[in-house]
This record gives sequence, structure tokens and C-alpha cells, in this order.
Amino acid sequence: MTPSPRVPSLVPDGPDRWRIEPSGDMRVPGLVYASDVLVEGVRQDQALNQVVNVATLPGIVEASYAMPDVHWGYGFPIGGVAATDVEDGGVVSPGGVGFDISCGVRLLVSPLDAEELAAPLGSLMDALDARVPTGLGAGEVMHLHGEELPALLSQGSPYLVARGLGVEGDLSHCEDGGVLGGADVGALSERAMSRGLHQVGSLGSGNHFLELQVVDQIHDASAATAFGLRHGQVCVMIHSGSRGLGHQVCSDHVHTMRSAMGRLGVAVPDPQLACAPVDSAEGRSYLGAMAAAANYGRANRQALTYAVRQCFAATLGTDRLQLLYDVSHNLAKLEWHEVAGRRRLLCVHRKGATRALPPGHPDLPSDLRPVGQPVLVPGSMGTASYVLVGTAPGGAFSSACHGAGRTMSRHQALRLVKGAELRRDLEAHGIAVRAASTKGLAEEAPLAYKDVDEVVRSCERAGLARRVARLRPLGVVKG
Amino acid sequence: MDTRGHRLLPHTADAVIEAWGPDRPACLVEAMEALVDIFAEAGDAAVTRTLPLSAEAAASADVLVSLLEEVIYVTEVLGVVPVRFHLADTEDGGVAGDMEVVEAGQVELVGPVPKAVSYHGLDIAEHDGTWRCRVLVDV
Repeated sequence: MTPSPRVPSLVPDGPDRWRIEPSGDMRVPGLVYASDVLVEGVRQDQALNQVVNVATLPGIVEASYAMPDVHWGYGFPIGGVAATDVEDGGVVSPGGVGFDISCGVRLLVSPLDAEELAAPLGSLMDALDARVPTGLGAGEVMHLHGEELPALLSQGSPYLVARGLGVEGDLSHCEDGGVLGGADVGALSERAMSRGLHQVGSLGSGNHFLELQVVDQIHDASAATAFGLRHGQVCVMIHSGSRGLGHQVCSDHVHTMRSAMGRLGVAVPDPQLACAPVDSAEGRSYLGAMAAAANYGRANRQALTYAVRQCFAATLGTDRLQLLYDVSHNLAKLEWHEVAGRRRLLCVHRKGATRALPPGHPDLPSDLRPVGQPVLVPGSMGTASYVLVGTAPGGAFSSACHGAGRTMSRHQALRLVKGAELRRDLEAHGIAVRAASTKGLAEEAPLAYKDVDEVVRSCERAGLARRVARLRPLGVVKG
Repeated sequence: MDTRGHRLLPHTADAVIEAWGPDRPACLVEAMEALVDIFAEAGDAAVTRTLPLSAEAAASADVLVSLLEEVIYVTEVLGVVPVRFHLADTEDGGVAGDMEVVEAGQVELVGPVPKAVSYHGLDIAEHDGTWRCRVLVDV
């Protein structure tokens, strides 16, 4: 698993865009979005080989895309986008979605200015730390009985909003209205169900977090106003996914597809790219299970939102936190796109990439439609995050980056940074930290990530999305 | 190098386990110990129970994945952390044994909790009398 010495050749292909010409079994070229600075980092790990491998998938159209935050994943690169033509034997690959199905980000905007939070920041952070389950076996916000889980998996966020854990605006400003259609609860194993039963409303660990942020730069005043953002405003960003349930769904269906590929006549260069035609029993089963897990992911972030509002109400006397948007960055969706002059139904895999719909898109709620879809880009812990907006014509089937993107392994980060020192450093910069594991904190140190400012600038130059606002952290709750 | 052991190798986003031992069960046990090392330090936490551990006959890669998935499952659903593993080959080509566990609340969390096992770059084989494996786990 050391980086391959044979790095595919990149040819400049426009502003912040590079091309890998098709060779071998590649059915389409690779197209990598990255600035001159970022592309040097991309050459250092196996991400480009993974872009090449994805280009061999049956039914893939246009290109195997990589976003500016691309880095070495498993099977697919993290930051990869690939679409397959359903009517042309196109496949769906659980590895093209990732283990954490519907891992995503939501941003809540408050009526408060940062100055109003200065005095009560510590109390609010303590309240969030106590109320938001993090780490291992720490419980859940929404306790479910076994018979309730199937309904939540079918109904997603609306299931919780109907029970008082949210408001109507939480649904209209969530991708798909908070519920992805076609969920097939019967396609989930007992293990998936048992892993999901007691985690609705839990942050998890790894790179997941909850941050209090302040808007510190407005790049597009008109879009910011439409999104309800203003300079100095306090926001809350939640980054989490479908927890153990989603991981189990991916594992189960990779096993199933690995067994079936010979019979289905499908071959892939990496076993983690195991796949099956969308129009096959295995493909349909996965997509049904994936939709259920996606609904779990949205419900999980909704339950966390409920907990955050409770903490704001108890500490600051207001729970008026409006959902700006909630969007997944690990998902496969059936979408219509024009390819080579013809509208086709595609299975668009976004693995560590965010859907970025342009202005006027019918899937956007009426108040966001004139502006475009908010694209939420969390930075690394302690650095800036961004709100972008989808643009026309965009690229990569209306996709953009999903974060800063790692450059350094957890291993290297631990060698260079000590968790306690990092905590002191963050607090010296006015960022309050509450973490389930101080040692684990170091693995997410900012130096382990690319420069998020450069990543979003690259997205903008490449025409994938446009910057609206920059947010910096005031407090971090880490799993 | 010791006849058995394990270590974690660099990977940009997740964690790669390398483990080795004089026979397949020893290599598999080392891999499971490495998995636990990613997230927990048990110190002198008391063992509270012993859970069965087995994998059906299959390719060694699938046996390895199955065992690591079992450790992830019991950690997450039962709220326990395995600290000692015992494993032997079975006559039909599988492995069977048990794992001693401590309660999750009794360990120090030192990193992200693994949630899945990937087949990307997975390798397990015997060379010159030593079984060796490499496997990437999602954290």
C-alpha cells in the first residue's frame, strides 16, 4: 500500500483542470480539478491511480472526475465523481459512495453576533459537550425502539420533524427534503439494524465534528443575503453521517457484489470497486439499502440539530437556528444529465464530493432556486470553512469539493503533533475545544490537511462553484 | 523482526494494519490487536466476559475481513473492547476461538473508532514460514 511509482501523466486541460488520457482498460479520460499548487500534492499519493481505476467501470460516461480536495481513498479516490449510464449497463459501486453513506454537512444560522457569544461561549460549549454524544458508546439524542427504526429509515428527517425534533424549514432546506425515495429496509442486514438502533443523534469519531463558527468574510453579498448570512454572524456546522448502520450497509453489499461479479460478467481492477449494473437485483438492492442509510444520515444530523437548539435555548435563551442547507458528500443518485447531446439517466457517484446545483434547478426549494444550491465545505479543525454556491454550467455533473482534503496520514500527524499541545494552540487562538479523545485530536490537526482557501479558490477558477462566505471556528466539539 | 507482531502504516485518510505471525491464527490475532490499538488503550481494565469468535472456511482474505468486522461489531453494539484473542484453525479450514473483553467505558479512547474493513490493497499470505497481512480499515 505504498504509493505507486507509476503516477499517471497529467496534461493541462483548462483553468485548474488536468486530463489523464485514456489508456489500457480506461473507458473515459480522467479529469482532475486542481491548481498548480494542489496538483503537486495530488501526485504524491495513489489518488490518481484510483482516478484511472474508476475510469474502467462499466457504463461510465464523460470522465472519471477528481475534485480539488482529492486524496487517496479505497477503491474510489476521496473527492471522486463518476457517472454511469443506466441504460447502457452502467454500474453502481458501494465503494463509489463510501462506507459512511450520506456523510454530509449542515449549517445552521443564528440571529446572534460573535460579540454576544463571547461571554457565554464556555457555558455553551460545556452544554454541547454534555448533550452531543461523541466517541465510543456514548449514547444517542433520539432513543428508538426496534420497531421504530424501519419507519425512520423510510422517512428520514420528516420522521423526526413529525415528532417535534425540528421545524418545517429543516426539511425544505435539506437535500431531497430530508428523505431519499426508494428506501428498501428489507435490504438491510440484522447487523446493520442493530448498529443503527442506538446511534440516532450521535457525532461519531474521526473527522466528524460540530463547530460554532462566525462569518468572517463575505465574497458574494447578493448570494449571502439570499442565504441569510451576514458578517459577524454566529453559525453552527454539523459534519456527521449514517454511523455504523451506513458502514454495515456498504460492507454487506460489497460482499454481495464481489460474489456476484463473475456471474454478472463484471471485472474491476480493485476489489473495493465491486459493483453491479444499476438494473440488476444486486444493484437495486444496494440502491434501496443506500437510500435507507441516507435517510438515517439525514435523521442523524436532524437529531443533532435538535440537541444544539436545546443547548442554545438553555444557555442563550434562543433556539432560533435556521437551517441554511444540509447536503451529503457520499452518495450515488439517479439523475438526468445531457451527455453527448442526449439526456440520459445516470447513476452519479459522489465520493467525498458535494452536489452543486446551478441557479434555476428544479430540485432546489423556491427561495434558493434563483441563487443556486449552497455547497458546504468544512475546513480542517481550527481553520476556515466555506459556503459556496453552485454555478452554471458547472462541471462533473454539478459537483464541487467537500472539504480541505488530507495530505498527511493520521500516523504522520501523530508523530508531529501532540493532542494536548494542539488543544492549547487552538485555545490560544480563541477556539474552544471539547474532544472525546485528546490523543485522537492530533490526528485531525490542521497541518494534516490541504489549504482549504486554495481548494475553494481552485473550485471557483474551474467553474465548479463560487465562494459566498468564509467562516472561522469559535468552538469545536470533536468525536 | 519478532516472529509475531503488528504495526500501523501511513495512509492519507484511514488506517492500514500490517500484522505477522508464525501461523495464520497468530497473524489474524495480531491484526485484531492492531485494530484495537487504533482507538483504545485498555491499561489494567478488568476483563468482564469472554465472547466467541469464529470465521467460516473461506479465502484467508475473507477470514481476515470477517474477524475484523466482528471486533468492530461487538465494540459498537455491545459496548465492549476486546483485549485478548485466542484463535485456532478448524478442521474445515475456518478459525475458531474467543476474545476477552472489557467494558468500553473502562478504556482510554486514543483515536477514531474503526467502522469498516476495506478490500483495497488487502493482502494475506504465507512466505517462508511467516504469515503476513495488510489491510485498510475505515475510521
